[in-house]
Amino acid sequence: MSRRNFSIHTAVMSLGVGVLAAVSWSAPAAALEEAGRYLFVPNRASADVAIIDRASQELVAHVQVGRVPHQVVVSDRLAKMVASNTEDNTISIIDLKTLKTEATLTLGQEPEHMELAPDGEVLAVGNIGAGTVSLVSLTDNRELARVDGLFEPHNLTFSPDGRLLYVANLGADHVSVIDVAEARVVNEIPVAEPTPLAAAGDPESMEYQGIINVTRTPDGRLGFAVHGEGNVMAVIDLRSQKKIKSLALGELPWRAYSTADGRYMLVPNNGDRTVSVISTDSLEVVATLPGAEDMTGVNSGWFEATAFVISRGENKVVVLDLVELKKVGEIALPGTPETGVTTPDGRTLYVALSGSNQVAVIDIHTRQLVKTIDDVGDEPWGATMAGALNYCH
Amino acid sequence: MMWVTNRGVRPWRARSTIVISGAVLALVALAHVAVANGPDPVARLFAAAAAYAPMPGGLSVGAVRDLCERDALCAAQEFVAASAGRARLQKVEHPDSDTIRWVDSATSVAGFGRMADGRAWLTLNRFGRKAVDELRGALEELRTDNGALDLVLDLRDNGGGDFGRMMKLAAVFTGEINNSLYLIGTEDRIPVKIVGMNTPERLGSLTVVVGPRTASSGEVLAGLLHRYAGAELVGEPTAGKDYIVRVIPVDHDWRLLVRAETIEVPGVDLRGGLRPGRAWPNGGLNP
Repeated sequence: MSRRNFSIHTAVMSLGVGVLAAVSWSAPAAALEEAGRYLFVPNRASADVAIIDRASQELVAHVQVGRVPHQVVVSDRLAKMVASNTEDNTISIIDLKTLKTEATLTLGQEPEHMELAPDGEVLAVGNIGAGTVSLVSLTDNRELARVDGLFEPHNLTFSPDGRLLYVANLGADHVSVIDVAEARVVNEIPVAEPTPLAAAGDPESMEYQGIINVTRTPDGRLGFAVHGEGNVMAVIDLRSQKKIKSLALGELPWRAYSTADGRYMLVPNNGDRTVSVISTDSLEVVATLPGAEDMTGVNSGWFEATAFVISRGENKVVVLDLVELKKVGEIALPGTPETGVTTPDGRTLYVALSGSNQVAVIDIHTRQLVKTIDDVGDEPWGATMAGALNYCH
Repeated sequence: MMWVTNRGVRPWRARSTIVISGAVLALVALAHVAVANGPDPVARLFAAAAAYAPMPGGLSVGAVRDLCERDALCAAQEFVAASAGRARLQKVEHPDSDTIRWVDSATSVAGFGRMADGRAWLTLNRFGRKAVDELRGALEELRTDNGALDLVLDLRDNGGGDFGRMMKLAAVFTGEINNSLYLIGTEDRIPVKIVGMNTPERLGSLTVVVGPRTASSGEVLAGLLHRYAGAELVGEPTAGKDYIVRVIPVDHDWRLLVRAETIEVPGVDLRGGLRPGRAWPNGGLNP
């Protein structure tokens, strides 16, 4: 698809033709019956989602959504895609078989991060501006409940059985636990002590960084919650919902990223540009490796022997060898990287490049940038794939 | 973590272990009982606050509960009203997406340059996320050769901020210092170490300019640089705010700021404000 086609399409949309109905062009006749074949890329500035065929590495469709789509999730089971339209306070639910919008639901203020329950039917959406979490049925396309009592809810994590939802509170020092069936907060797990300040007048509150994410092991036994202001990571026994250990990390840690096998948690420390590697067996920091500036994500692959640390500040990924536990290289990128996704087979990494409107394709085995997919939309913000270990900023 | 106690235990953890009193235990028990029916925000709030400051006189948890039920903001308002100025509420300014993800960060180094006498000057107004990077970047630009830099650090508009980031910034000049300062609680005195991760900056001379708007972390930084980096303090007396405030989330929109430990830098009188040895000529950076 050319940029010209894209512009025409956008112009038509702006005239109000099918404003609420998602529109596609050059989509395959059978649309997207196998969602796992495709890569989904939300474009913040052009308010659409680019769909890329992984086999051909070609852009096959765009779907218009609301303003500033932050994240996309895909339910393979229901053949639906959802985009969180942060600026509009809505989510768009798209039928992947027709690429039409089935519903646009208005949620709380600034719906941003989403997490799909393991059954693929219940979607949790954090309304970060309102301090609430919406529970949405993707079967019925309706909001089932809105849970309050959260503090700037950031990323969300379901338990493996989908019964519980762990909420990372960016604006607090604890993790909230929601009972999904009861749609209420049933527990709060302390992660760190209150932040110390020494300031005259009202201290600034904008840059307070509580908890970005709760990352669980694949078996759901342990959760890892980083507290940015405390420079610590809590290890939580998710069965007892108790913090069992606190690990000192580097400066301003971001969040933990699990390897697909659950062996390691990798935490970028943006304050000192290092990456802490934590063994989920010993629950110790086993290595502190060089990172880079403004790290936004970590992806692993190729038998979980290699990790790629995405650096937005330096337009590159840092390559870490997870066998030798050392940095083994860097890959320069032609634009500003945001987040990425590794294919379920662990062979390929896709990274959204917001500055150049591209998606970078990296061969994980050879550790090489093998291709860029151009003109995916304005300000691509992430990449999502059904069946993969997806994450958002 | 850039600042740790010499015992290897963070001061707030040590405090919360040591200062557990009967009242605190009762509050913690209350919080645990409440969890059986879902977390009680009022119990959580009081348990967190009580770890750092005694319950304000005349404040009864039972009475607050009768009045506020499970409304944490109401309970926090009662706490503030009874605290005789030791606590206050702050409305949260929610970060936007780009602030969360570090795209936007308010500047800490307000300016830098060369004075007529050849010395370098640098103005530091806050302790933002990127303060150390900004400082190191500016110093690198100011170095014109491999010689030691003569630096004038202007803290006159530095009203303080994040205590941990201030300690990290101090390390740029001091390197690692054991027992650099003490946090004085109601029952203990915890030594705090400056952790130096890199070689400290090599300076020919360091002059720190302070004034009445230099407060809290700004004053502590000036005191640490005077004590451990040989800095000369010049200007006017500082504000004299020598204590830590703990930030306790109340709800999505409000935080409770509770006055906690007092800060003591050995050999430096913070309580009455720093008293510079001489005035800063002309009040400007180009004497």
